[in-house]
Amino acid sequence: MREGDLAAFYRQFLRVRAEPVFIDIFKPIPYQSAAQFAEYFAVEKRPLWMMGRPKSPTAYFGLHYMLHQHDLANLDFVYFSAYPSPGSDAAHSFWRYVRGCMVERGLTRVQSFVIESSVEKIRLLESFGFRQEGLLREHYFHNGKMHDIVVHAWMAEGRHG
Amino acid sequence: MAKLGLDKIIVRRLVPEDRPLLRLWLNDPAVRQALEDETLDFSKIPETMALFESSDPFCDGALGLMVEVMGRPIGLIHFAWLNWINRNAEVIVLVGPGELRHSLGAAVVVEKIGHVAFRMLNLQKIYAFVYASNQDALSVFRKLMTEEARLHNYVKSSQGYGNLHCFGLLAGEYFAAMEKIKGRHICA
Repeated sequence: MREGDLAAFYRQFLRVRAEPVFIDIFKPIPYQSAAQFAEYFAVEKRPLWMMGRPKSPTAYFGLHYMLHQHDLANLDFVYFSAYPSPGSDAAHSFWRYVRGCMVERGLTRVQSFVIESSVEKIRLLESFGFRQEGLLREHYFHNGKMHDIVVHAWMAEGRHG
Repeated sequence: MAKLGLDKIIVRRLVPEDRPLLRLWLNDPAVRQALEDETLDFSKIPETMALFESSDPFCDGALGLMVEVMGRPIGLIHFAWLNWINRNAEVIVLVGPGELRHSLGAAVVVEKIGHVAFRMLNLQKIYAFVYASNQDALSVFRKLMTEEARLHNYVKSSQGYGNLHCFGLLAGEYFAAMEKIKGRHICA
């Protein structure tokens, strides 16, 4: 992400609240200011990538909570409009790019936390080879009620036991 | 299990006088191996202990409490990642080494954790994360909480990779369980 892109991402973040962005789940601050938002993503541990034009990004993904001693991180991504269909060229190129970023950082496992109702996103994750590892019951408060969060993980071949 | 008087067990804030004992516990290899607490930095134990004492659950999202049985400290309960919107937290339980590990019924510890979490902090849910290698803790948590996720090959060690088990307990489940347990194992 280049300098200045964060402002565009922040605008999108305020608009896209139908599903949680990682920051919502782990640091839920209502009406988060641009400064707080920038502070959260400024930390080196949470690299962030924007896709699309800088002024009107279509999606983003981030690697959070990177634990280098275990070669793992949390993957968070949001498409601001529709998710690409599993198996489509757009889906393939997205996953190829994400995997490249993971390899660069030596990550052999990533997990993703997705609200249960985000069916398209879950289908997309599973098409990338993510496997469901659990369901966190009533984990996330959104729009007046508690929601379950589905936990998925992807592992590099050498890491499977 | 013999009936335990809950009035003999107290949960209190940590004080500087607890530091020598806590240092002893944190330096015990068995305690270290079993401890799943990413907020705890073993290279900065003095700072960690100061944090346990001063932690403000609303500002820091953490709260360190000592469990004492008849005046003898036997364990530490650490609420971490307190989330006031989702109303959940991760609970890390550190029971002192050796015979202390067997001196207290698991149901009593969970009663105390639940008391703080659900009756005082008004949380909706608590989590506990347990390494697959910690079989004692796994068998305890399987009886008292719901296993919600198993993170495969999550932890890397010199022996290879190990799973991490994620347990959850909702406030409603805690209150229902306490109704059943009271009168059987615990006398209030």
